[in-house]
Amino acid sequence: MTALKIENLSKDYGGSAGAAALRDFSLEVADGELVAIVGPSGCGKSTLLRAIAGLEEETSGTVRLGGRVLNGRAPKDRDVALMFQSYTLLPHLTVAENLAFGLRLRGIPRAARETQARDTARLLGIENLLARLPSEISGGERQRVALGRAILRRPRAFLFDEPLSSLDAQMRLQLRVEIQRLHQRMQVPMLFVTHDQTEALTLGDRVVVLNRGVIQQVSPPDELYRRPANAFVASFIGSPGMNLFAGRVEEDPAALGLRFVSPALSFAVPPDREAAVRPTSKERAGITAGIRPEHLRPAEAGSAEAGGLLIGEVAASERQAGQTTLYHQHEGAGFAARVPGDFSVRPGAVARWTFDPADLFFFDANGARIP
Amino acid sequence: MKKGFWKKQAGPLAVSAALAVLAACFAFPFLWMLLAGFKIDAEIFTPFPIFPESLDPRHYQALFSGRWIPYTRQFLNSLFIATAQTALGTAFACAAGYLFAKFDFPGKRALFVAAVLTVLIPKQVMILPLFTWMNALGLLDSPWAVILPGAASGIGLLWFTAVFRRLPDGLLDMARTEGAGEYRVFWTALPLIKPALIAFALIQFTLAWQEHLLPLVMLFSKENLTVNIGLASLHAGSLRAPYGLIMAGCTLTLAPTALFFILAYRHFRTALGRLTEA
Repeated sequence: MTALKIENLSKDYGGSAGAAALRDFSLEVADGELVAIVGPSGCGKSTLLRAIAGLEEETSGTVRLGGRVLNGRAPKDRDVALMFQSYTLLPHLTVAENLAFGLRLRGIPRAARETQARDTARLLGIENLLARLPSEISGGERQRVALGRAILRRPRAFLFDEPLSSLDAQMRLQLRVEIQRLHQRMQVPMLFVTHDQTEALTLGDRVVVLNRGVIQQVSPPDELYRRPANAFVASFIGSPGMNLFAGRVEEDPAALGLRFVSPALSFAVPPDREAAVRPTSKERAGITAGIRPEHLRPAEAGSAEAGGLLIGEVAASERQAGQTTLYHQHEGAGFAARVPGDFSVRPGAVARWTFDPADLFFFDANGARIP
Repeated sequence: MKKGFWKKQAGPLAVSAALAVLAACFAFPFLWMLLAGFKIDAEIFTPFPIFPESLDPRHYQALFSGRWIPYTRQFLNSLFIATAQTALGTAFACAAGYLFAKFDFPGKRALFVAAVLTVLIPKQVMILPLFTWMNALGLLDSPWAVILPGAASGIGLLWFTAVFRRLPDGLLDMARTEGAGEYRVFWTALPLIKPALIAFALIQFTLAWQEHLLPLVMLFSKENLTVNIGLASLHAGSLRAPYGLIMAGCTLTLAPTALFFILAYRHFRTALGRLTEA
């Protein structure tokens, strides 16, 4: 059975036309499944969680949890735990009291509250902090307490609203592992909202990519990378995202085939893709070609132009552990290339790149991927 | 080394000295009042000696004997009126401020502007309508005729709206998702603004304790007057009480606000500090 079922959820703040925060969002999440929702800031992901939790009223659509319709119910009657980005511990209560806050609201006696708070604290390794005040513990520990508070009352669903984004990198990693453990233990639907694709891809059983309130793709993490549904997903997933070149497909009488032409990049379309990208009419000739930065490799000087040749002036380079990312500027278009190891190129130098035609992606005029 | 010390400390020392002189200027009238309570009139009207010959409690005894005015009764009247007005005024202002800061409702702006405008209207302008109103309610000469008009305060609404606006919504949303109804959310928020609550209560209490106009107009019988009206009658009326007696009465009358202030000063400072932060 689907535990959490969201149908055509829309939220309109009543601003200018077409400025809906969320449009016709539908998703089903099974018990024990963690779905990550990722998108740029302002894409509507927080609005979605707040609507499910009952903190904001939806404009239309339904939310069901375990077959029960949640619409119109007060947040307290929804039995949904929401973990926030900001530290939401009550500053005048100790860690133990904060952990058991939800139980206190439900009128559970003190002794039972204390036992449960201690059990949960042990689970999260914060037993030694029980008597402290929130101001006396670190940011990571505070989010751990907030996580504990959410676990403690065994909600019917878990919602996470970027709970890790205010933490430093190491703490974020630790808490991510903690959330994965929680995910394996708790057999309830979980929604994890983030703007960080690494978090989404590592935590989610499935990932939803959201842009301007509209779902772009719902799929398992590796598929987002291998088979992006459209140009937005392609450019959003990956670090950096896919290089996109807007151009057109033309007949090439000399080569008896099709040719992709754009200001920065031109190449002969591989024969096996010709059928798919052949324009059906003059208007449909507009097409976008995509190639991932990690699929570009330095072209040998003077080599033949096998698949295609990409030339650009290096604007900046970033060295990370074990790899280098180079950002190029060419004919008004920017593109990036990622190569293993230390690859030293002076900014301003002209670099030549080539690629395997099999790694190419094509997107139609509306941005949808051409299979 | 000694020279260096003086060079470094000269500035702060000068400031401290100036402040000490200023503090003495402010404190002297209070000291004079305290001491005058133990003097006879002849002593009061000579500048020296400053200290009385003996700490003779006769004025205090006279005050409590009720020979001049029912001092104990009036003191308790004042205490009741100030306490009730503080409790009601703080509760109303706090609840209203929470609503204005955290909720949207039709007419919010207009109501807020109206509340702000009440701050600008002097009490003297409203005293006559208030009098007829209290008369209609049959509350004249009862403490409620003083308590009720003072319980609603535009300043209080402004104060608590500002305070609650600074309270992060995240904490309230957390309480909601953890299972609190809207009233419970409000209760959860109260400890978070404790310094502001205490600071406002302190101001409200001081103002209520000092209030002169309302009790003067609304209360008639000696037994129902507040203590400051009673003290005023000692001097103004045909009573011609000794000045020492009046000063003894004033000293005692200052005690509750001074005590409250000493106890709550720490919170008062915190609240002002938080409100004036960035």
